[in-house]
Amino acid sequence: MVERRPLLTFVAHAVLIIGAAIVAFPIYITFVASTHSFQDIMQVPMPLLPGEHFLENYKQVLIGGTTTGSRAAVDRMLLNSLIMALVVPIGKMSISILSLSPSSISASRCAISSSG
Amino acid sequence: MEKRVVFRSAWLPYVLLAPQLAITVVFFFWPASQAVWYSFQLQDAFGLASQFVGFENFRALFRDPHYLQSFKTTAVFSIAVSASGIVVSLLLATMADRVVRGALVYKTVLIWPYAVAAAVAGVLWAFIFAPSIGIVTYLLKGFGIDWNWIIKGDQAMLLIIIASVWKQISYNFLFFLAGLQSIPKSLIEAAAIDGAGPARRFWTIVIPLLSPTTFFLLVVNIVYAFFETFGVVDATTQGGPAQATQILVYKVYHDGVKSADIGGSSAQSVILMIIVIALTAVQFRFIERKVQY
Repeated sequence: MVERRPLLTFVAHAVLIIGAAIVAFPIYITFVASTHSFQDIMQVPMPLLPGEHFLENYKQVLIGGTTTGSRAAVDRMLLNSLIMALVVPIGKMSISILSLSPSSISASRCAISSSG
Repeated sequence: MEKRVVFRSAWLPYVLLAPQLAITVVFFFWPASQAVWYSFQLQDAFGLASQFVGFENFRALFRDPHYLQSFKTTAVFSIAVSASGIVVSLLLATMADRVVRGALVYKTVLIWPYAVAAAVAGVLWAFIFAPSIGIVTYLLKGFGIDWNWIIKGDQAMLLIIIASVWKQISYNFLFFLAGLQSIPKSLIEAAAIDGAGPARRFWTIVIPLLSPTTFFLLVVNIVYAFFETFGVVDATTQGGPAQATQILVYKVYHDGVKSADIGGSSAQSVILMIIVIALTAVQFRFIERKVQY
């Protein structure tokens, strides 16, 4: 900021607040929906504040799995995701490190041989 | 004279390079050459036999009105996603670069969607835009808009554009913010002393100096809209209604996996491969030379 312009600062905050609100809106709504019972969400309009089924819903999906759909328990999926998220970057990085050293070295070898 | 390490052994560099080369061959060159090979073949209905047909698959594709329509859909979709994603995130980044108080909160919230998978982003937006029960659908009804993306093609298109832009805003925002912060303060200050207001400084200094960033983001966003939005489409519209949202990459999947037309699907993926090679070539060519401003 090179000069004081209170109006422009106000506009900047307004734009950022609106932008952040729109960006966060779907995540907030999904969180709110996760704390209500199925019947509550099916109401039109659905409630906009968190409800009291938080523990019940999360316990159900984490340990028991969803009551409709695939019925797979989320704890197992979290474990699978964790394994993927650890193995993939570690594997990628170790392979890249291996290939980085010889290629830079062979490149310098080429440079030496080409310069005589 | 810089110090150089030279391997005495002739074979060690190749051994160290081998894993990377093996992975590139197995996971890229092999499938890619298979796709090229299959694109010249025609399978029977049960996938038991195939015969070589040359460019017949490609000829059939370009005679197929659905395929040409899919090209148009993809063009509309990727232009809308790239343009609105870049404009919105440039606006937000310019504002975030200006404010001091609460900057961390804004940045954190705006970077959130980057941590959300494409398919999940699709589900989130489909949920709040759901016909009859979605919260936004309810609000739109108040304005007299009948929102039902399951039967209306243009609304389905709008839904996947919104979900894709939402997910990509974070990435663009980060790059624009970094670009804005790397503009020398002395230039801005000199212009301010000369009497240039914020708008004029933005158009004559910030925009030109950001053009390399913008060009890079344009290419990345087009590639994103072409290829990485599969999850959004599959989780929401699945190409429907009436193929209104069937982008090229979704059509490859639909024709190859659901309709079992391996030859036609491979021909489509070869065309997509040519497009992405062209985009990458353009990017490398211009990034090397720097954008002119």
